[in-house]
Amino acid sequence: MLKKLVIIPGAILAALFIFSGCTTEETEILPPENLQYTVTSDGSGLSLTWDAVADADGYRVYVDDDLIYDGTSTSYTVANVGKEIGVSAYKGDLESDRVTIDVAPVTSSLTIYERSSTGQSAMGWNSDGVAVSYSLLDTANFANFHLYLDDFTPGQVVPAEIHFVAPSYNSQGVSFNDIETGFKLALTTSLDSISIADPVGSGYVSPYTQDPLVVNAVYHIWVDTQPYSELNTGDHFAKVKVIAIGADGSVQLQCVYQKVSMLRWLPTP
Amino acid sequence: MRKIAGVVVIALLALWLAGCKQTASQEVSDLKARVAVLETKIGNLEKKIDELTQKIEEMSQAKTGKKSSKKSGGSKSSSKKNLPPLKKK
Repeated sequence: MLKKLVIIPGAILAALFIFSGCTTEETEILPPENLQYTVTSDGSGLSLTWDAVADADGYRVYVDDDLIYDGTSTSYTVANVGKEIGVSAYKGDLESDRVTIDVAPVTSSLTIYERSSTGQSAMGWNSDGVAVSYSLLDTANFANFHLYLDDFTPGQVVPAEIHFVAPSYNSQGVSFNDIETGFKLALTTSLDSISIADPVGSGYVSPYTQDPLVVNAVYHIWVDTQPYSELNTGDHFAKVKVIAIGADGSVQLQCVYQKVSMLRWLPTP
Repeated sequence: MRKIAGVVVIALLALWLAGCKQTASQEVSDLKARVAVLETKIGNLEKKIDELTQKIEEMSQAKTGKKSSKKSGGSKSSSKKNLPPLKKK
């Protein structure tokens, strides 16, 4: 009788400990789904949202493997410049795989020529973010021009007077397209020291650079689509360094372009 | 009989301690994550301070350069008489 009195309550208590006191071991938690982003209104950050994960204790947001958020919200605005955003869900010590957004800018080099020279004078960034050169006579590609070179001396090549010019302006005829690219000379000659393009309203000039191009000059570039002078979908940012200027009017450029519209992040290398 | 009771009590205590340990380790990992977030934030602030310091230095250098070029007569302005005025934005 006494045995029963001890064993039965003991067994009940043990069962209670096992099924309520101790947590059951889980081996996996699923990553968040439906990760969406929008660029903040001034282009300096990314606003993230994702769907809640069942049983998750919380979520972690990473920028280039640096943890920048740990909490229970299913939205977060990233202000840290980076190349890859990752979001994971966690439960206890278990953390899911990360879902990621690639925001790395694209680096490319090309050489274009002053418009009176024999080479191609215009350039634009394609959908992969790579800089591509075009002839100013290539009417089929007018829409793809983002800038071109002009020394404003028709029929001559004056290397010391070459400017970047927006395709919305053509000193020798009608405009090539309606992109009013803005240019802003950076206060540095180091392309890598610029991790974010300057904001709109900070002194970009258009339709041509204030001063002629010089070797080692670095420019913030704002591909400004209509409506002009405000940040809107379709606008893009880039940074460009003048590597060399030849006597033949050739200008060698190193370009870094952000594919995500409106986002000003340009970290390199 | 007493032996059985003793064993049951000890077993229950062991289970309770295991539960406590798990809770404690969970709390430690949460704290570790929070510390990591704070460390990252501090790192970002340090980066921003460095960038701003560099920018200030560059601006003061640029100012000095401008002054000296003015003193030496400045650079020739390019002949842009027929061009539209520059639009600042």
